[in-house]
Amino acid sequence: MSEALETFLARLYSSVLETESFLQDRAAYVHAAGLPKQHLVDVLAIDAESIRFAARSFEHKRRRSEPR
Amino acid sequence: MWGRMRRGLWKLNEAARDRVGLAWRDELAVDIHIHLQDIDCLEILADREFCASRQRIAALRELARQVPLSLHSVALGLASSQPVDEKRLARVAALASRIEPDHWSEHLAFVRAGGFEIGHLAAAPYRPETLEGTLRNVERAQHVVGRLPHLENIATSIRPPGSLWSEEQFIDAVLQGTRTPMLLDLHNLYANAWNFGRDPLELLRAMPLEKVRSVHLSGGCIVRDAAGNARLVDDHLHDPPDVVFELLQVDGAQATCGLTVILERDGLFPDFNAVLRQLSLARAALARGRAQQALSRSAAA
Repeated sequence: MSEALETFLARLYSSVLETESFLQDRAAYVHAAGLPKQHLVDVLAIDAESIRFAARSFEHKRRRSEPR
Repeated sequence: MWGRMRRGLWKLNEAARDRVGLAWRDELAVDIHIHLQDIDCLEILADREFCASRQRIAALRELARQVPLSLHSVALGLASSQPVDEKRLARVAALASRIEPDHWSEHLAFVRAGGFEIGHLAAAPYRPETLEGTLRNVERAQHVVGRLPHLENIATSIRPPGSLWSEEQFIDAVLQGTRTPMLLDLHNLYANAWNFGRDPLELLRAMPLEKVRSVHLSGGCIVRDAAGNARLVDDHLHDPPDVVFELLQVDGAQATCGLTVILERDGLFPDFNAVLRQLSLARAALARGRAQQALSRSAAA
């Protein structure tokens, strides 16, 4: 089941737009993404500033083309 | 395959002494060659060499004969419940076979899942399914490349959602399950300590230091998030802060064999004399750690 959670997180981390969309309406986003219910609590509890910062940081690094 | 003789010689060296060097960057190439006598080891970023010309590969192979070389891979995505990228793995294996480095390394990170490319290193949830996948991926990597990688801790600004363990518990479980050596990135460790309100020394001591064979040193900067919280970003564009050398000293006092220490810098390169000074600081920190280690061993005896 961790595969589904990883895929969900990769989706959020791969685009700032996805992250913002998730933060706007978490429940609807999670439902649309088809995340198994067992991970619902985990992703609803994500700290908004932390994931926003992480997503922006990934975006910045992608633009710099630095892989690490 | 990998040069047997060189491997044997460097294996002896690895047990015998610490090595301090830096990550190869084309911008630093001339200075690196001029000061090669002051550099004990080098690191090559594998992903940048996948499309290297025959001439460049020959040059890297020659370099690997002059100085112990680490082949550092960044995008295999080993720490994942999902299978490692086989094409990338084959490329790393081909590169290792052609360059014959001293050892190779990868991060304990996932970089893609379900068709989504993150384009950077992310921490997967620290939980049993991730551990099982990681063990499978590392075994597969060993089979394809021919040797176990050194596995590196990463910096993360978010505690992986769904985690059941701490970062250090996860790392310890992976290293135990795979018997891989650890590449300890001290700035990544410091960044995680900073961002999660932990004492870096306490976090360092919680790591399996007896398994550390190589170390990364780098720098970063403080960035404020939208809520005004100060966060430390590991950007490889700044000098390593003093605390990184202090952590290196502690690591040196605990390490059970010779350490390969690599200074990493990805841009905003300072004058090369400043780079050499940082290598000297690293050697001095290691020497202090080793002296402490000798003292405690003689006291115990």
